[in-house]
Amino acid sequence: MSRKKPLIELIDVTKIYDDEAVVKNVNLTIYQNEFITLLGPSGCGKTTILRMIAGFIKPDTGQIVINGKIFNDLPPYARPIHTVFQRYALFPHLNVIDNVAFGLNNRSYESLEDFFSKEKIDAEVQLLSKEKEIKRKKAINSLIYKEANKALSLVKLEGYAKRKVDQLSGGQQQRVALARALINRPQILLLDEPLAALDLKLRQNMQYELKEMQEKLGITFVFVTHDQEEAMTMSDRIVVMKEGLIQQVGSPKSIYNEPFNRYVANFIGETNILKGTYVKKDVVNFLGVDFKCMGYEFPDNEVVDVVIRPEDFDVVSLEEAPLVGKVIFSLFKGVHNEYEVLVNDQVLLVHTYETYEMNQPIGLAIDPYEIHMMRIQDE
Amino acid sequence: MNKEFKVLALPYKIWLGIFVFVPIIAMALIGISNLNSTVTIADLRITLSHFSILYQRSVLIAFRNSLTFAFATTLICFVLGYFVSYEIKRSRVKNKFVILTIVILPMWSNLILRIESLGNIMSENNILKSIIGFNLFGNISGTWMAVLFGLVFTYLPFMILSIYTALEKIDPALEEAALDLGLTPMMKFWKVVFPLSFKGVVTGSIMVFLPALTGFAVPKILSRGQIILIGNIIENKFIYTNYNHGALLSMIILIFIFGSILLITKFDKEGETLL
Repeated sequence: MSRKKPLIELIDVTKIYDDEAVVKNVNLTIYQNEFITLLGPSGCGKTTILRMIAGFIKPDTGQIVINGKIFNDLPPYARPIHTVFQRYALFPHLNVIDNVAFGLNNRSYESLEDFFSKEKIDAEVQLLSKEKEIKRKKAINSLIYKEANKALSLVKLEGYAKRKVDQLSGGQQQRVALARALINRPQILLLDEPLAALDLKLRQNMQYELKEMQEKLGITFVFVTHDQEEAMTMSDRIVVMKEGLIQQVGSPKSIYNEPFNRYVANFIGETNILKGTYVKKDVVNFLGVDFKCMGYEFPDNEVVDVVIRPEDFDVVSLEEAPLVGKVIFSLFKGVHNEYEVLVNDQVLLVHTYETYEMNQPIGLAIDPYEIHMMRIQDE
Repeated sequence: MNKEFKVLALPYKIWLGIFVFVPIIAMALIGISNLNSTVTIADLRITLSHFSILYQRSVLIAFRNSLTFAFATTLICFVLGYFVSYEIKRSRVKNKFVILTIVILPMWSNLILRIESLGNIMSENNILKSIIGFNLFGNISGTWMAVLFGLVFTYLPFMILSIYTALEKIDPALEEAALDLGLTPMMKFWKVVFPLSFKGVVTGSIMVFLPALTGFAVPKILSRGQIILIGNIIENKFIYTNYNHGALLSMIILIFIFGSILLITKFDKEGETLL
């Protein structure tokens, strides 16, 4: 597959602050054109990884390889990477368009000739010189502002060019920050919780727009967030982190359905984690009942963690049900009902469309493919 | 609640009226009238004759001296002060307040005392020379160098504090953003840090410029009366009871001050860099 070209490789990267490793021997490969999300609670090292890729901090050990070259000691301004900061970091002394054009405005003449290509500059000279003699520098300047306006329309902010940045709302500032980074055509865009300061509705809109933009522009997005829903919505792959260690890397689906350990299972959505025994091939016993399962290989009679998502329970008649419990708590959530069901002294979280009264008996069944198992880990 | 605060603010408002507002009006009137100890109320007239003092050579020279020294002091304070402030801001010392305290420390001793001491070690025989064996400043007392040194020495802390305050307000993320967008550290300084600290430079410059322009103690002591600034002329006019000329010159200085305040408000609308 062509998209499987590695772009960023972190090899055994460790970062230590005040004798404490905040990133521990992280190995991670990020491929071209993918939307990858580093997900974890605050203090798990995700922002530190992002800042190491951006070049603001250097790893203590290990290597950061980008495009096959070691980037460890390269200063941030020499990297083909741009960042969208959490608080946007727009320049307050410049208006919107100058903020967007900032990167290009401060490039050398030579690199701008490459950026726009000679033909395009010549064409611009032709176009402008109808009025009067025009120098190439002026043509380039005109091209920069054309490009900036294009970037503004990409983020749907036409007509805001001359505004001061402090006259914009949070969402608009967010878009300016995005345009300011995208105009430079970076290979990699780093986003450090860029949606955290927006309200829910705006955040959801921006999630779709970001994803759309990423697909349209073909830029690799490395996104940092602590919001698992946000990660699920946008990412091609999610990296779940805890205390400086990567817990699991995978597509949103695989992380949700096949969490590698309790931590990931708990972090990604609501779930039931039960102690069980892998009796023999394709049979697992939990809550005192043998269930059929599939797709997992463990030694016979190994104790395992069984993960069942609340929506994976099937509500069936009491006679057919392998598990019979009692509803002890119910909550109407609009689309579905959320119940807590007491089964053999264990409380299970169950989502279903059916309506049950408090203390009413309820029959539960689980399809073999909905049963997920994890090796037990010391936490 | 509001009413109580209003009442509490009243004493100072009255003070302000009696000791600031009324004197300014009085000075303005004295400057353009023939009031003096021999004139009775009945003979009081408005006259513009005192403006002739503005053509006097000594006054013109004093104005020129004042402006030259004030500009030179401001410029030197800016160059020295900016980089000190920048270094303090960038230093990794946890408690920057300590460094700033050291900067302000001289301001907490009496100005006259400080300048007298400075004048002393600038003269030929002084206590410092008898300790270290040579004359640190040479024998510059009475020269323009002594005055300039004294002015910079006195007013530099104002510049450092204003610029530091402005620098400290710059979000570190902005500097990172500049590097991230491909600017070298040097370009980052000129395109982001300096423009954003410019307010502090303006405030600091005015806080140095005005007292340097109007003060009379520093030049009087350090030049041993050799260099006359406008402040010295005004002082002399009042000492020799020529109130009309003294008042008129003071009003002209006041126009400079108001002009500067206008400049501040233009650059710093929230007034946040004013200490």
